[in-house]
Amino acid sequence: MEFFKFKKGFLGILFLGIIYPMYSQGGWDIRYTPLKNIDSSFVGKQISIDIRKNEADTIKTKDFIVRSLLIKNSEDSIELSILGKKLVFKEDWNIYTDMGYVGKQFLESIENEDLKIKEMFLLKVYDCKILVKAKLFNVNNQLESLEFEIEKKKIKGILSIK
Amino acid sequence: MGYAGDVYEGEKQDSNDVCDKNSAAYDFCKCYPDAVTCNTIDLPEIVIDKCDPENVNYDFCKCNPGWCDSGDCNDPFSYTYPCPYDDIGDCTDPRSYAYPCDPCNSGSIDYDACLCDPASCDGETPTDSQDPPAEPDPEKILLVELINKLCSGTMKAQVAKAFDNNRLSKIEVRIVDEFIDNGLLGLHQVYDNNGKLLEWDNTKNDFNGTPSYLPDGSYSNAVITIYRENIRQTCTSDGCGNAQYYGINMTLEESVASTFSHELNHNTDLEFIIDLRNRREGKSSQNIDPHQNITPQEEQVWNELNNCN
Repeated sequence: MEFFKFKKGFLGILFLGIIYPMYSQGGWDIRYTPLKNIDSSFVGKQISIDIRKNEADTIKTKDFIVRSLLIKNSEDSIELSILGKKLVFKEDWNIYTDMGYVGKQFLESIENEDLKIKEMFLLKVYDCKILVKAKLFNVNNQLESLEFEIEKKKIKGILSIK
Repeated sequence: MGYAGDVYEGEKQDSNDVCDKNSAAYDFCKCYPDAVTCNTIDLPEIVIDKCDPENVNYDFCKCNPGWCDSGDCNDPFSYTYPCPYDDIGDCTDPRSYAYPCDPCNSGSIDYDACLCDPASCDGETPTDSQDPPAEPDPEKILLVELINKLCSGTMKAQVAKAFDNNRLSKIEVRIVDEFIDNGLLGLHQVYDNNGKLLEWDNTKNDFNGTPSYLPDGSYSNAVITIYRENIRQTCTSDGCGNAQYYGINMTLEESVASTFSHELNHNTDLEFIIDLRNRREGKSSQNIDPHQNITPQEEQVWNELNNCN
């Protein structure tokens, strides 16, 4: 069962390799920040969100291992209002033994796995939500540039570039 | 002093007689015109038909050229065709890996890394990129021995392929036993033609320079780094490395070995290596992801290790 998720993630990478020149062989630029530490200093930075599974899902240790995100691959999802529609997206983590880049982590539509949100940047930090801009891609190319809000209570933390 | 034509006292004068054997004018056939040896005999021309099967000199291949291999490597119908090609790096010969003569074709004798990629030359002392890493390489030996004692056939095959005696690609192995805060468990890097160790540039989706290539398209020299302490720090009760997040409990040794196998794969994945080079050089490319061919093998290794534990 675990490998089924692994394979789906792999197929996602394969698919993205076709539509978007995403290469990654060796390197790491991920810094993980728990929700409570997200402030205006992150505005303008490229980020990726770690979706919260439920209210109990919080960072419990100081030494959070980014690689542990892989364990819940495809499990955490979030409903976003995009283009006048409510769409549910799940995390698509692409982290290897020798690679981990913020720019290679995506959100993938549950209804249509070809639909992905990439290149997310933080625009504003409010008390209860954050405003981000991002790009929506389908299997062939970029569809739209988006701006949308995400409730903070749905976020466990964010990945930003070191 | 004498002159030509002078006859000295006591000297005998030439008789000019064609029958005088002592004369310069002696001519046997003029003297004995009926002698047999002086007759001209018209012999009939004898033609030997080599295409007559009854003839002892019958030459089948000469008479039936369509049935026999010409043995000429320039003859497209000969088994010897084409003539063996010895690539001497002639960039004017389209068959050569060095073709075309282009200062940005790394196989060409005209290749000029500094011209094509000035950044790769900044502050660097050119060295011979063909210099092999220092031997012996105890860390390589250690990791190869580790893989060979584990039960994954896929890993053993990967090691055998990467260190095959016929492979010219050199691999230097480094094991880091202190924690490095770089997020990595392993790393594969390559050298350029100036001996500079290249890094992966995520913004370019390519190395930060042009790797040095061998004629078969593989990298000339690579460095694989295993961050053993970083791997150790990923270990939990569920195991070590990424495998634990996919439900496979691997020991530290197994995780080190599978990481090494993963990095070796980066050095032997010619499909990706050639595709990346094509993309860099503006040729047709499939935009293959660096992990597209690596991940399935890694999954196989994990499965094999899991099944024999």
